Amino acid sequence: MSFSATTSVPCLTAETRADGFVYEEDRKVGRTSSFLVFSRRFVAEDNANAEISPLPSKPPLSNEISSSLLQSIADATLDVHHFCGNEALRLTGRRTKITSLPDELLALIFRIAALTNGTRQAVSVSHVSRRLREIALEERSLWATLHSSATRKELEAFISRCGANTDLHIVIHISQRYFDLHAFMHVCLPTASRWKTLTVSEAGPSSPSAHFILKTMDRSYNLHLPRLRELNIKQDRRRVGIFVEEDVRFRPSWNSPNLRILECEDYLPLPSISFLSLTSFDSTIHLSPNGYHSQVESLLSFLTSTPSLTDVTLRVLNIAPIEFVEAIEFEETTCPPITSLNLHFSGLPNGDGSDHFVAIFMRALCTPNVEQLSLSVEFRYADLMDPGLDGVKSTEMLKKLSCALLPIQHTRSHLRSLSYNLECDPPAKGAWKIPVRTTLRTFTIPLERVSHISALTLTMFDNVRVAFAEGGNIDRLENNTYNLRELRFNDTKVEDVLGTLQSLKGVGFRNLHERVVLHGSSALYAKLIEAGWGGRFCHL
Amino acid sequence: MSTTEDKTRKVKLVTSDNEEFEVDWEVATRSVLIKHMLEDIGESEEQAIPLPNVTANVLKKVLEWCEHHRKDPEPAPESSDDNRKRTLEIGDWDAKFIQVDQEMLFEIILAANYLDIKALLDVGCKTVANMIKGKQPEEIRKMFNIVNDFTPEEEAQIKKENEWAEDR
Repeated sequence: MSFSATTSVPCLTAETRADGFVYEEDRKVGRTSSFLVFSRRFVAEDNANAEISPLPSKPPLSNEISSSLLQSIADATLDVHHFCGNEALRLTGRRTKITSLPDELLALIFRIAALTNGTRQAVSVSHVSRRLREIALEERSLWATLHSSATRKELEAFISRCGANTDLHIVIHISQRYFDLHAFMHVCLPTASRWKTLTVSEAGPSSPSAHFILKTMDRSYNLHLPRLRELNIKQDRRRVGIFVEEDVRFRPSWNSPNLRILECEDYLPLPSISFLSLTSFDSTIHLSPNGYHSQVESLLSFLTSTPSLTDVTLRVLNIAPIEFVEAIEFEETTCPPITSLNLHFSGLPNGDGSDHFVAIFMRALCTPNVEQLSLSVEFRYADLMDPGLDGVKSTEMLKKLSCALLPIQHTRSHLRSLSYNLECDPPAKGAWKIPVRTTLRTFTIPLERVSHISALTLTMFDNVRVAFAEGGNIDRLENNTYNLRELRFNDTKVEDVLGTLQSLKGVGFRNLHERVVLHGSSALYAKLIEAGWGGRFCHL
Repeated sequence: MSTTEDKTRKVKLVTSDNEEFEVDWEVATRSVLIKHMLEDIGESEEQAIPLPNVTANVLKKVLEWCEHHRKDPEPAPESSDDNRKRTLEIGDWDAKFIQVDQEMLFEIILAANYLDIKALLDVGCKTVANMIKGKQPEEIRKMFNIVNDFTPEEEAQIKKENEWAEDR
């Protein structure tokens, strides 16, 4: 059958056929059948035309009809395509299932599963079916993690499957009293030039320490790690008092010129040539009541001796049990390269002196070029429920804490982004809200100490309202020279938001609606509109 | 970079089963594919975007996700380092959204891949990864109705590999 205009089209005109009727009838049973009936008639008429010569008197097709015809053909083609597809699906009973996914998506799923579920996942998916095995074996990154729990044969298979040049991730997790590091290194050492990340962690104080493993690796093997980018060391917190003194710690001497990230948990690294290229340091430390001074001094010393560090995150935990001597101070440390600083203090003691550790720590750590500062304090739930801690006392406590977090003697003229996060343990996450006492507390931000900030993020537990205080420089306020442009609220009640905005107006922020963009949830926005806020708002 | 005019614009999308959807520009352009197509056709508001690989019931679901995430910042290009930090965690809303039957789950993944919506693809893939998490091969086969089609030689190799776990 030909669709060329010269042979077929004259037979399809509305005048020569009852085309419109057929079309209308078939519309009732769906477009696909209309096409089929339409096609059958077309063939019949085409055959008929073989015997009966076309009528020369018929006028040529108008543009409108041509266009309509072409549209019909296009529609019909689409219909046939779907009709056939759906019919085929119906007849075969085939539905979209995991095997309908293309290889690259299955490989992506396997990668995610293997990254989060461990190396056994790679083996597991490769044992399901021929296709899944083929995909798994071709996905080299699935085999690029060499775990200390693997057997020699398994390690060899992983090394062989990951290809000759893939970056490798070494994970040494010591969960048993005896761990044969040398057997592990015997298989893995030849690949050391491809190690991209190295993680050393321990399950508990009865197994060899992460410190011992690292020291043995450094002393027993001449490690050259040109690709090493990230080092993670996790030590058991019960060892926290043991490896504080410098003489029992070690300075690694391996060659790692591209090491950028160091993450430590209850491990205090000593400054070393191996760490000279670091740009990011993330440390979590549980303070030891007997050794906290050495721990902090050691941390500060590491910061100041690692010259390329720009991003630092410190989580200081377990502060409450420490009995502070009033006069104690840490040695002042200035770290000009640091531009991003995230600090988290957890387990502050209750009542008077709760801010003491924060105050001496912040006085000692001077970061004159910091641009982004995140300050997080986690209170103990039981402390906040203490009936002796009424609104006035807790407001006073929070005021001291706020001043301690931003020591007045430090300059921070580059600071642009500031974030406060006050939370209770366990952290108030998601839908779970802590029913902290209904006493209203105020957290005061000394605005004159952060006058250059353009973005401020506030996350407070219930019943903490943020207020601003200025230091008396009225001229500056009159001229509206504060740079604050963005105010972000996380999980904040509308009345607390309004209280904060009112406080900003109180310290001289004029035309607040025009100048400051609020970021918050859609629910907050709706409530603010109800309360008469007409300013700019961005949904989080 | 979107303009204020863009944000008030409506976009017409036509599915493979010929259903037309009219959505906000901001919602439609969560899809990088649609965004590029809109850039190609310019200002024409009347022109519908054909999506021959997506059916109406799947597009409806995808648009529900796009509507909820319309204000999300554009995802940064992923590096292999980001991949290492990946977790299986899915946000509360997304977790509820993706509670669908397996057929719809895989349809959403295919659609997200075709429409180039990385964050939705991530939600879908993480969901499947969660489903296979810690499962033995036989359990994976049963869950997804996959036939074990290994040859006897391949079975022998797999048996040898299973000994790795026993040797630990």
